[in-house]
Amino acid sequence: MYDNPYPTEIREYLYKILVIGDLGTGKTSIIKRYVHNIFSLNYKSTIGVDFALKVIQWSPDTVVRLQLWDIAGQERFGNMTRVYYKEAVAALVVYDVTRPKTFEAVTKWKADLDSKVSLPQAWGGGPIPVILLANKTDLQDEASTSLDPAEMEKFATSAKDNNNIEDAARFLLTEIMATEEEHSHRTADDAAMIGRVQLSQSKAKEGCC
Amino acid sequence: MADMDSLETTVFDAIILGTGFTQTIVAAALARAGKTVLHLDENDYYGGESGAFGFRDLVKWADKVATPVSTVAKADSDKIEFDKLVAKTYNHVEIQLYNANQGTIIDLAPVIDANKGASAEDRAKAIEDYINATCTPTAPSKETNEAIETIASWAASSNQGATAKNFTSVSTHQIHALEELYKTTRKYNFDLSPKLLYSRGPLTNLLISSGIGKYLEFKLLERTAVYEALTDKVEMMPTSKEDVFVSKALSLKEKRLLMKFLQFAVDYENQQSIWEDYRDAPFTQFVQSAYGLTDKVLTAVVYAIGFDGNDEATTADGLKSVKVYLQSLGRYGNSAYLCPLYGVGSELAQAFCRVSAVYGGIYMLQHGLDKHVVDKAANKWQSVVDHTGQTLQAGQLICSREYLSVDMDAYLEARILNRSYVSHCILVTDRSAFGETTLCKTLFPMGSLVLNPGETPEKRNEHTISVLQMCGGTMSCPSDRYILYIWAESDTADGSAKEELTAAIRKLVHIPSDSRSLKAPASSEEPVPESTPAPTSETKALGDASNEDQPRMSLDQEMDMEQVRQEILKAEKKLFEEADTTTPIPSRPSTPGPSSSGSAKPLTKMFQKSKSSVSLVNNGSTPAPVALFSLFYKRTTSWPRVPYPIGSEKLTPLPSNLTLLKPMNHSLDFEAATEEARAVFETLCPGEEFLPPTPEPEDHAAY
Repeated sequence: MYDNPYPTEIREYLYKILVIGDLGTGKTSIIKRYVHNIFSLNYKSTIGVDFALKVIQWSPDTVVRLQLWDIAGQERFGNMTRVYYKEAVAALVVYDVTRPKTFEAVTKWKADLDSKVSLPQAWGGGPIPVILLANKTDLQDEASTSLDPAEMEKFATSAKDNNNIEDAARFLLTEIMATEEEHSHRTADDAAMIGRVQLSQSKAKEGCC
Repeated sequence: MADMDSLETTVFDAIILGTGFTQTIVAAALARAGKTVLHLDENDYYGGESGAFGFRDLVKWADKVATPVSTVAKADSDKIEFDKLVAKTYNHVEIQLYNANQGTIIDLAPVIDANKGASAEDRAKAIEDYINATCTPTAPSKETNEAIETIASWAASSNQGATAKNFTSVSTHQIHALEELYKTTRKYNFDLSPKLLYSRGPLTNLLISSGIGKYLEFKLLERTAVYEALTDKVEMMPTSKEDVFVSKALSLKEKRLLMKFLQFAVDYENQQSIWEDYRDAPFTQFVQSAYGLTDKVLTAVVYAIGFDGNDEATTADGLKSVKVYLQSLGRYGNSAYLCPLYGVGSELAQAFCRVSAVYGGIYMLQHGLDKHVVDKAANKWQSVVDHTGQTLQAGQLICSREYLSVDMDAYLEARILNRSYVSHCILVTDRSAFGETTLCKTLFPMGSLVLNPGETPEKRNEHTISVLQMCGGTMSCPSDRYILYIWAESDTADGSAKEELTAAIRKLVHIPSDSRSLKAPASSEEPVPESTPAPTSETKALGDASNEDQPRMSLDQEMDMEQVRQEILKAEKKLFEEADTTTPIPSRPSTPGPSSSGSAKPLTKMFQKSKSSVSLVNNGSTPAPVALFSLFYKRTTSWPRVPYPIGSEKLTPLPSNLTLLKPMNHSLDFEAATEEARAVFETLCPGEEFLPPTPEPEDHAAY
């Protein structure tokens, strides 16, 4: 960041990332750890917040704003609202290594996800990239799991010990950025519009002009 | 998902059953006010009677509601019989696939007859085998097999007389058409009771003030057309001030009259003396005899603007909706109506559910319910028991009728004297019925259509028939298809939805093998190769182009109202000046008056889209769309209202802490349901703010 004190053009990207998985797998803890680097054992369901925002200086001339969408009280069934899924570009599926049932549910979450959201047409419209987080490794005894559900990169994480979460997010973001590069034949401004949610429109107006 | 069905808390402030539109607003408002909310639905989708489905799920839904529920002899009086009550709500369900006479035709009558005694499943299997053996599809896809299986089950069903009659034979063309629909199933979002929003109506204002609008995207309705019986034409109405200026159908004199009326309507509350005597008289009577808009065209324009679904609108009702209409014009462009993307009511319901969930509401779909527990002595509802035997308690229960117990439903039934229904049709066509206008509303005024041509006594439509055409741009269908939603209020259970709505469909669409419908477009009179159910390339290009040039709206894209107002005032002034000096006024000039084109220019530039204001639809230049698939159904909206049946006042009313929400009405907008939700909330939480603004996520340092 020191090599170019006056970057000619700061590119800003905004991505919506879903954090899904069964009740009590630590979705909220993962988000809190990742965004604010805090952890609390007093688990409370999240009230009044659609998503948490993490701003990342991806490279000297690239800023990424990540919206991490928690699933609020809707986690009890596979049927999330479409407004939750819409325009997401990636997802973290979380399960609890100490409860095999939450792992069994992963395939259902993935299926529901793929049936409700796909990448924007400009990005080829395929399924959105997903990584699997095997959370609560701090509580895990040695005899551990298991088979991976198809085609998902898996990370063993602990929100408590701050283990591997940063790496997992970085992996996912790299994948998103690669897709973005691959499909951006346009100016930086146009490309930045892709995958943006509506709120950013008013934000953009306030910010730049 | 693991442990899905058990809750760690089983006591709530409120339990809400059903995710219909009205329930979801109440759920969001209660959760927002800090109440603990448990929201359950027996269905596996959001929206209840406003649900939205892909094609496959629409067919499944139709088959389900058309199939009578087998019931135990006499159910417990506390029992919740959801499926039975839903099936009771929907009648006259009929599915049709058109183009039955193209391709190879397979007569199914012999195989149906031969399997008369068999169960419906066995009969369907026999028919399926027969079709497969007869047409031996080469390299059948998954969808080919699914299509054949579906057609076989329709042909075999004795429960759905009407649908079965449409499939006594099947053509290879129909199989291909169904296969195509299955292949594109996810591109469809069929809405079971479609409606629109006024851009500046109470619901839109609520979506903006509460912040819930951020979840939604909209398109502007482009035009409104009205069918005129006299000329037998569907005509686009000049429904904005801009349209009025450039209209070729209106003389200068008429334009002045109309503008004067619109100016009065915007301010009608302050000019009571003009309409006071007509307050409870029919709106049309006021417009024609009192206000003096006697001309047919003017009446039609006022009807196009002021009709919100209620044929019995009084002058007070009519003026109110004209005012909302006029206020809505110009907020997001040259139209008063917004249409949400991805299905209408379902999308709104999901946005409200999301807010409720974000504020702690717990959601469980596809959750079977067993019975209600009521304290009979105190007539208080206590709890609901779910399919796992779990008892879920709350201070308040809010639900729609399908969630009532046997007892409660019997009470409701006993309180209803006058029945009401809505006839619906969902129709898929291959091109726009309105040329390059793709998102369009059409009204067939009451009495304008003969429902049974050639028969005596003649039957006319007793209520206005509303038609809403949706295009790919609304994310409701693929870009080379169009959906027509046709619906009308109905007073009787007897007439089928098909009988009540077909007359209107005939005026907009070519229905194969219906000689009273519009003529087939030239291209499809030639034998169509079986494998190309897709429309011609021009249609495709046309559809795509018009989809793109109408942008999506989010609610923060308001237009500069001051600028709009100034432009309108300037144009008005000019119009009046020139109208005053132009003598004599021709009664109906064939060319636009000298002022119209000039004064409209700045507006035309400012609004996103402007078309010649009155264009005759289907005057031969635009080929008629061809009907591909239709689903008819009739939904009961019966509700206790004055007068009640004699003696029913002696019955024990519903428990005092149970709030029963009305079924979705037939109107064009959501305002009645929104108002109902607000009233329910204010009764349950007196003094609390109804859906206050949600804070911006970034403000939440605590997260």
